[in-house]
Amino acid sequence: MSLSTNIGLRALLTSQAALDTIGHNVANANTEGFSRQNLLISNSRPLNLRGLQLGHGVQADQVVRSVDELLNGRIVRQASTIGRLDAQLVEMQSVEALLGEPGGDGFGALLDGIFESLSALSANTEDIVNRTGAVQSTEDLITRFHQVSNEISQLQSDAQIKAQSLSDGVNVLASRIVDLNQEITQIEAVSGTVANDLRDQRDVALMALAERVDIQVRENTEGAVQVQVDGQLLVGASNVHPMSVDISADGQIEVRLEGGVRPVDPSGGEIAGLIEFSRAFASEVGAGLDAYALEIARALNSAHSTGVPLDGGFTQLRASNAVTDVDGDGEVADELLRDAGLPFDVNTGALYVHVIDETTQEVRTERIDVDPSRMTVQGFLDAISSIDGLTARLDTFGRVDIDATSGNRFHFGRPINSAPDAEGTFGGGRATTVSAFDGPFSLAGPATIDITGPGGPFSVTVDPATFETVGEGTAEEIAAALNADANFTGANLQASVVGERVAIQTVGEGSAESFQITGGTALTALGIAPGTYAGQDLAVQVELSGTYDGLANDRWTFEPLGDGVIGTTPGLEVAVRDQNGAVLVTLDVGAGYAPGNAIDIADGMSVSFTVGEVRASDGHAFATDVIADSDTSDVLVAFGLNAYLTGTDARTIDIRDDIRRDPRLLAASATGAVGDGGALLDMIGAQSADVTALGGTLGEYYGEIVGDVGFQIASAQSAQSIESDLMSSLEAQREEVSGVNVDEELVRMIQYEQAYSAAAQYLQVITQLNDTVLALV
Amino acid sequence: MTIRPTQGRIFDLIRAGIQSNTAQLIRAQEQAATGRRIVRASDDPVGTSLSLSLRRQIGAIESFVASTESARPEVGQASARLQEGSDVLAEIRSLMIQGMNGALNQRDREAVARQIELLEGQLLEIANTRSGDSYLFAGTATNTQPFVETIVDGETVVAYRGNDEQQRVLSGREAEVVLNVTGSEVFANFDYTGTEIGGTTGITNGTTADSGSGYGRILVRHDGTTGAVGAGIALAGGGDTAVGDRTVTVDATAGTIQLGAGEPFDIPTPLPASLSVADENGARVTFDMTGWTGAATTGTVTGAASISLDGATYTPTTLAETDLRLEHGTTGAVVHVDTTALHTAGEELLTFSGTPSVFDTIRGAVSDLRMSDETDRTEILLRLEARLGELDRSQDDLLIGLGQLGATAQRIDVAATRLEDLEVTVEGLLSNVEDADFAEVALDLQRAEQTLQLAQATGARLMQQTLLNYL
Repeated sequence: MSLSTNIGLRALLTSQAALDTIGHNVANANTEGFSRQNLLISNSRPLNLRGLQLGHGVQADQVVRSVDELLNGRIVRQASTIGRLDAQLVEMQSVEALLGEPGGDGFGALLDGIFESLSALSANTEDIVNRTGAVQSTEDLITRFHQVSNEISQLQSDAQIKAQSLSDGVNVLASRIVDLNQEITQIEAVSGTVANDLRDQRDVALMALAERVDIQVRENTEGAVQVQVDGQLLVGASNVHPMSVDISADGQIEVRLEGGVRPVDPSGGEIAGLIEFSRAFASEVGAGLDAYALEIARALNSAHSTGVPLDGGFTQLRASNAVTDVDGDGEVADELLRDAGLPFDVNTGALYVHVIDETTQEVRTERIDVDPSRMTVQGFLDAISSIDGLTARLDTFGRVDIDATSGNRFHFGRPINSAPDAEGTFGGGRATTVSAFDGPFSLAGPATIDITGPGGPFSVTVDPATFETVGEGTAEEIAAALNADANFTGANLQASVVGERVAIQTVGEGSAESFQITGGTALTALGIAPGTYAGQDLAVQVELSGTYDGLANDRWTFEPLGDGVIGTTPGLEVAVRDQNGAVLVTLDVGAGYAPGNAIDIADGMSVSFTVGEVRASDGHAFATDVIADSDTSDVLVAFGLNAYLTGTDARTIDIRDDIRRDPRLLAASATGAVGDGGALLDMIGAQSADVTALGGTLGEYYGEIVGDVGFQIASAQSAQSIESDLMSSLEAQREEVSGVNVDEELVRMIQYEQAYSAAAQYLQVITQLNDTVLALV
Repeated sequence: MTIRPTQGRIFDLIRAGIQSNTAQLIRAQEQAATGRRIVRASDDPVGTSLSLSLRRQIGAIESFVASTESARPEVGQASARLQEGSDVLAEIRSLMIQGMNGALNQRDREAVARQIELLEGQLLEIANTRSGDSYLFAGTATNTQPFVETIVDGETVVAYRGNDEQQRVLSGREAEVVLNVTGSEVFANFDYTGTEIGGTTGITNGTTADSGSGYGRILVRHDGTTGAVGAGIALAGGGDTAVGDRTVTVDATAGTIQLGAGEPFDIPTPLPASLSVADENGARVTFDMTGWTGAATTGTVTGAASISLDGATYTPTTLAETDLRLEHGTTGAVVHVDTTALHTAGEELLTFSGTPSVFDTIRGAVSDLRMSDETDRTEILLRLEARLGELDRSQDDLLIGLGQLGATAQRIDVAATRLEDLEVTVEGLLSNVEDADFAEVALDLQRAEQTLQLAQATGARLMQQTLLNYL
């Protein structure tokens, strides 16, 4: 009888336990991370009684949670992926908003605004309102550069602060996991049952952790989990290695775990998203804008540096880029131009410097040949200082400083030298002979020229030992050697340079002047013929005019093809040769030419000659430089001499300070005339010119930056949407396994309710049976 | 297919459905509100790149418009001023023709000269026109007054101080428009065609070419007459202009004295101490007749002369030079003359044809008109005629300049129109890329709204379904 009572009691207790479990499930139907629990029941072991195998009722075995551990692992990993994308996307969208494209107020529109205001100025170069407008529109772009570059740095440092606060959360979660680990192992060891609800809580903590940083989870046999980040232990069996976030030496976010020898590099979770944003995306956009700013500065400066400000030249000019002591020997000026720490490269080329005498308005042009692998900073300074009227030095900051001596101005433009035959070597009044061909002249050893002057014969010796290239004398070197000879100057003779030829002339002018060259060992090498040379009363005046629109710099040498009088001798011609000696054009200046009239040469230039005699037999010639680009070496841009923009990246780019204060310093003119806008036209040309370093125009490059930002965000967005879909499908799967269906629970509740009622009824029957038996007693 | 549905799943689905539909609704609303399909770069990166490139094109076009538009007023002003100048020249021309009228006396001519002077002042003002701070006709030396009165060799002349350079602006990629005509082109064009010598002294051009500009004077100074006439007639000196050898023929019967082939001149009584006789060219020799014996005689007298271009340095002539070089000490002008036909001392007007500035010409005409009545009328006429030729040339230069400015104005207009067209086209393209299609947006909006409502309705129904309703 007690067996039956026992069966009834067990049935009652089991149903009650089942109803408890159902109640727990219904209660937690909306609890995050809750896994549905089930009471496992079985029939009790039967009893062998009276030869019968009698069933012994039901027994409750265990409460298990309905969970798929592998699925949970996938969800944890997916949470890391989504955490990374979410964090990254939020930051990236801030950058996108910062660029403000497409729209009318991004960098592209502001740069176009500069070109527009420069265009307006080009039609009216003197107008101070237009000048201020040009400076102002540049200021707008500069401000935008500064603002955006600051904002990007700010976003980067915000990302670091966010990562720091996330790491605090990581540490809290890690401690919680350690606590739960301890409770679970304890309970499970003591009771031998599974700590369902604690494990659910630990899963929730792991999930929250995974959202912040991607983790690897390993459970040991006691039921505790170990959590690793990038192979380093964050949560051990009973201890935490706290996470810390710092800024590395290169300004990037650095994550470390206590006790770790190297920083960890998480590949998922919000922290990874922030790191990736800061290290890759923001840095790339920042670097892109830096390159953009640098090339804008280069393009505008390259045109502006050879321009001339409104007042026609400089009395003093200071470079904006400093030379640095790259080789570290304590000496700055000995650096080669190519390794002087300048922000822009110097090329092999030429720089033309013009010095204007303020009283006479006479312009002297000097050419400096620049070879960055040979010329040092000091060499450049010396070359400038060797020009009469200029001195150049480095200031204490290592910036080039050029001063004009009083009464002089200078610039680097491309004025036309309207009086190219200053020495009168082309039919001038002086007795003249010029070498028949261009130098350099090969002189193996000391060589002589025998001259008979007014005071009698003498001999001049030219010693090639002093020349820069052994055995070879340039026209400049030979002229200098001649002018250094006392007999030569004593005979009232002078030597000068005509292009790359040497001219020997009397100092005085007129038909009374003469000298005779009688011989000497240097004549053949120099291309000078022996003979008597006489001056003339009627000197030819040469005037050059026009605007040179050729593509490259050139040196034109003019020489008569025969002897004769301009405008008179039939068939008299003048040949114009380019710097390679090729005849560019032959000008008819004989009978029929009205002296003084301009004759077209080429490339927009023309020349006029007044009446007088020119003699090919005396080697008459003159040479003039025609300049398309007065600084092919870009040495001005490199030093930042007469720059429009200073600075080398988005943060430092700025308008040259004195131009901002005084827009008249904006160098609009190419020739020095105030109404000329040649330099402006070159600056405007930068709008459509290809920039080698950027692989396109400035505008195209900026388009690439914006397009790239757009693409990266769009692709991150689509990745996020795909990963979210995957996550929701994983969560749906998890819900299938672990979720609570209330209806289902209700059905089971009724099922167990009925079972409970039945068991109670059964007990009542047994009780009645007992009563019946007792009544028998 | 979900195997085991749960309430949580149902609620999640309802929530997700409502959220995604609301997001679509917001997106459509954003497009409708901004009117733009691309609000941020990531909405359509390709479209954004395209939009930027189109905006660059518009930017470039706007640059060109900015330069041509800011050039337009100056071109217009220059053009208007040249038109005025042309009118002034026409008036000066008619005054000069009036001044050539032989019936005018010196006072009348003075009145004409004054009027011309006033007009010349007006022309000078036109040539020095400023637009804002810059001179319109100074080339690119726009801060320099282009035409300045200076004193050269004691005479006030107008000199050009501007340059010959052109002001250019870009009217498109690689396309330049020249904005200005230089003062030298329109008021002081140099197109030398040869030297013209007025022609009353008998001097002609030498063989060698000359160089110089504007006008000049060849001064033939009489250096004294030598020789003997005979019959007691002596040379009185003073007022002699005949250069070279002259035969003097005294006809006792007719009582006349004849110089060269000139008209025989009646010898008055009483015999004068100073009798000026002219030859066929008007060259004169003065004789002292007081000692005349009354006999007929024939003699030869010779006038010596020297020539100068600047009035400072005189070169004696042998009357045999075919290529005598004369130089102006101040201006550097060089003239070669043939003296073989020189017969009379005096002053020659020298014109470097094609080179005088319009001011030189006008000032010359004024000084010609002011020549005294004593001057040979033919000489005045000759001079004025030469000036008139130069004035016509100047008028032509001015009209050419006017034509150039007209062409420039037209090019600016054409460029502006072309740019406007291009701007419209590019903006159309830009709108295609950037702007929302409103019909599409409206449809999207409606669709999103309906889907949302559907999701809400089904969700609401689903949420109410529970077994509890029936327990």
